[in-house]
Amino acid sequence: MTAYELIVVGGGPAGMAAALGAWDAGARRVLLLEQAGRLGGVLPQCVHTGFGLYEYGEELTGPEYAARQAARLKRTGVEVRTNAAVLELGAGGRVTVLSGTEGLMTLTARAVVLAAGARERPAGALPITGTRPAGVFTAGQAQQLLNLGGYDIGRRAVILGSGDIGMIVARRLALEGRPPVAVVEQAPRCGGLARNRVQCLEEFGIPLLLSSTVTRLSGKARLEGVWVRREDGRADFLPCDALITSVGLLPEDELLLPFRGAELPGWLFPCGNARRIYDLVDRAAADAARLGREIARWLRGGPPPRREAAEDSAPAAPGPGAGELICLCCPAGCLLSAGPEGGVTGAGCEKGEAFYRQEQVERRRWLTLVVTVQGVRVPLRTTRPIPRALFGPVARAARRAALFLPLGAGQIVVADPGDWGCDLAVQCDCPG
Amino acid sequence: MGTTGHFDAVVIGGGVLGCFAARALCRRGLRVAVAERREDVCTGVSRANTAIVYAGYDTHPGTLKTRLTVASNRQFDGLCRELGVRFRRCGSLMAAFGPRGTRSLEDKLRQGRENGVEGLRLLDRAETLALEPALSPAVERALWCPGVGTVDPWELCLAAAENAAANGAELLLRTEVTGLRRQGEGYEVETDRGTLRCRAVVNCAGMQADRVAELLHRPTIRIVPTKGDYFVLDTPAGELVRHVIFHEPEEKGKGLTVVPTVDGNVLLGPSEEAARDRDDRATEREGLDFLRALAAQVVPGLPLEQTIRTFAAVRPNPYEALTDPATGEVTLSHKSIGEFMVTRVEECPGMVSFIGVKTPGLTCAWQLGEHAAALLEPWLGHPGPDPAFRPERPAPVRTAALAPGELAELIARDPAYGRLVCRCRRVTEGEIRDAARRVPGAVTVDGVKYRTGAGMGRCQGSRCTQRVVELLAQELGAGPGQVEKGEPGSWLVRRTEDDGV
Repeated sequence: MTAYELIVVGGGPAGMAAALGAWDAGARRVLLLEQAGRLGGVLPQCVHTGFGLYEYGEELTGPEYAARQAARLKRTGVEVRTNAAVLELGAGGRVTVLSGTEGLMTLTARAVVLAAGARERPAGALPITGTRPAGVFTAGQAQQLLNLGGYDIGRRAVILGSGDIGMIVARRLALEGRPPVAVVEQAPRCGGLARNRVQCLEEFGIPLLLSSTVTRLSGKARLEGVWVRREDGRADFLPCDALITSVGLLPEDELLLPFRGAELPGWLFPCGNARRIYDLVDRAAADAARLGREIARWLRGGPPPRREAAEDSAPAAPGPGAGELICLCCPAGCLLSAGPEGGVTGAGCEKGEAFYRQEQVERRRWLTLVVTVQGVRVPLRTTRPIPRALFGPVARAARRAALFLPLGAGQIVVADPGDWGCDLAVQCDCPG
Repeated sequence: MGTTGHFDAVVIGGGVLGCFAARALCRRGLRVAVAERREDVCTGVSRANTAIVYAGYDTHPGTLKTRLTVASNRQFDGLCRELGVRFRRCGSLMAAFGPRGTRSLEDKLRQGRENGVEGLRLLDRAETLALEPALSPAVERALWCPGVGTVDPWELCLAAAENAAANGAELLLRTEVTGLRRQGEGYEVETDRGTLRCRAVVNCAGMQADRVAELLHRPTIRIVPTKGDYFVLDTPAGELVRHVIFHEPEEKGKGLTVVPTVDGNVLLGPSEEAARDRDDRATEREGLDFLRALAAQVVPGLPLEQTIRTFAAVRPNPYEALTDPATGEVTLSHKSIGEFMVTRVEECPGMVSFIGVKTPGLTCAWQLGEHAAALLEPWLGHPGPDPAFRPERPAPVRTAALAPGELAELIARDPAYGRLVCRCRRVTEGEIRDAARRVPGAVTVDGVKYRTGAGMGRCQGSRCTQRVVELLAQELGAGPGQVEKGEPGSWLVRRTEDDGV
């Protein structure tokens, strides 16, 4: 039995941040356990931009954000074990681990951080009647199959729920040449960030059906369509071959089940999405890092760590009115409009004005995509936002490019594909 | 096609009845084939039901149904030990909430005692609530039957299939019976993959059993399908229920059944609705609403928000088929037949048909199998017991149930048992590979799910399906795009052609 000061369960953004925070604040003998074969949690499948805005002040993709954290971790003495699934947390900080390489291990620690992330509410939990055919996926599962697996999961998908992941998957499908039939949202307004509604749905012409819900599935072997109940009560049949549900995340708290109904033991600290669902990775990581630092100090006689967490962003702005637009520079989604004397009003920061002026001339967006190189999925991104009109030519150039492994993060694989002054770069190291 | 051959008996249908019939015939040293239309066993009536092992107090004395249920229940622990199947003898409470229900419990107590069911007791409210806190305090009386239990229907059916196969039965999957003919002293069973010659036929074709029988002889019994909806609740809810609960309603109509499953989930259901056809497994709003309303009344503390799945099951209800001798027109009896029907017609010696076997078919499947084999003995020349027959089936490893030492040892032998695939049910790569390698092995994602539990937990496969598809593809030597969810056409993923923007 090996004793640690701190064991962090889960190598996603929150887990890595907690381990980093603890190490930086002086904790030693820190172990990070990750069930998958690599660090990052869900980040590797999140090939879109939007990460790191608060932490690094940059538009990073999921793989890039994960790589930065992993690189920082490497510079510490934190011990990292992948392929190590925690099966049980027991009294006194006992951690039972199933390891693909070392079998069954029991480890102990003075403190345990649970950063197991979230799971998605499955379609089975929803009051949807009808058959149970193939072709029903959760949004995160769809993202995994599309981006990491390189699979086609349907030609005409309906997306249920306008959460951020659902909208991001909608855009991915559109970029893959299979725009979804519609996004169906039960509430009278969009569930995710305004910037995602604009960039992922509106700019791709994907209908968002508000105050509507999927009530019934049809199709015996593979999904053939869904019934959608609209606001006015009428039911529409939408032919489709996939239903992608984005109806909420639940904290992955199954390791906490033995403790439910009682106060959590003093050595156990849930954080990140395993504690409560965050809207942004940056915020989950910031809270986790703080928790890590406080645990380190507590282990050295300091006050007990606080268990509360930061607040989410303000609710998404309502749709823009005439002459208004939503700033896409950060999750705040400020509502911008022309101000007096040629100025811009509504901007929460200096980026807003520049964004507003650029939009008057030409819309520019980040393009990310994934190509398969010698059987390995390689995520790519443009090095700057590009005119929307260039999405097609740039994506085609990426798919035509003859690439060979290994490829390194930041490596330019296609130079100026749009003849416009932007390159396509690799998001993360892809060894051969 | 290669599916030809000569057998002592051909069993039509690879459900729980067919698999146990095959096993019973193997026990007698006979050459047996099972013809199953689908790609796997246990895909029809056996696949979805209430998972209860009944005790035999709610059927009439003296019937075959009662005799087999009582006998089966008594020996069910032994059967499950032999076949390596999990069985939870949790007992049942039939709960009454008023005078009509209470009268019914008293009748069932009398009937049960006459049937030879042991341990039955009528409880008052306090006793009932002490035994089963999940029940509403409005309960008045309950009939406690300690012998009732619950079993995983797939596990039971697969165990029977594996054991039959291990004893020499040939499982002919993706083999649909298209014709039946008398041929000399035996039969020719025509399939879409060739002709099987045999001396005896056991028709266990489930929802299609009447149609199969009528390939050969006049209508005797016809099936009218009905269906019922179910809720499956997550395991924390499972800890709240200790017994199978049968709700005896005050008004005429269907009550609610609540089952704590062997996996620790709760099964709620079934409702009862007309089915559009024999393959109608669509859940209905009315059915689910009906169950929800009953649950609020019977087990009000049960958290329905912990639902992880809803599904519907079809049931084959047998009706007597009356043929008008003048016109040849077939009309059905007014009432469905309550008894198990074992159909043998004079002009077809050597053929036994089970048409419309429903509740308690799961409980009695193995007894019905033995019953069929025994009925065929004279026709097959009184075969004696086969000394080479091995009734034991080695159960697959479930790493979640292993002691730490055993698991460590297993991983040392095969590291695949250390690689977790399904987090919710704690299923490892080793278990999934094993599921594909057994006989009959998993060839679909549902096949893996029924054998290992992967994808059956609270995330319903949203995290493990890709791994399962890829592992199964490796095991089958196929591409991931060829791995289907279940029935033909139920594709999950395809390889992306680069046809994007």
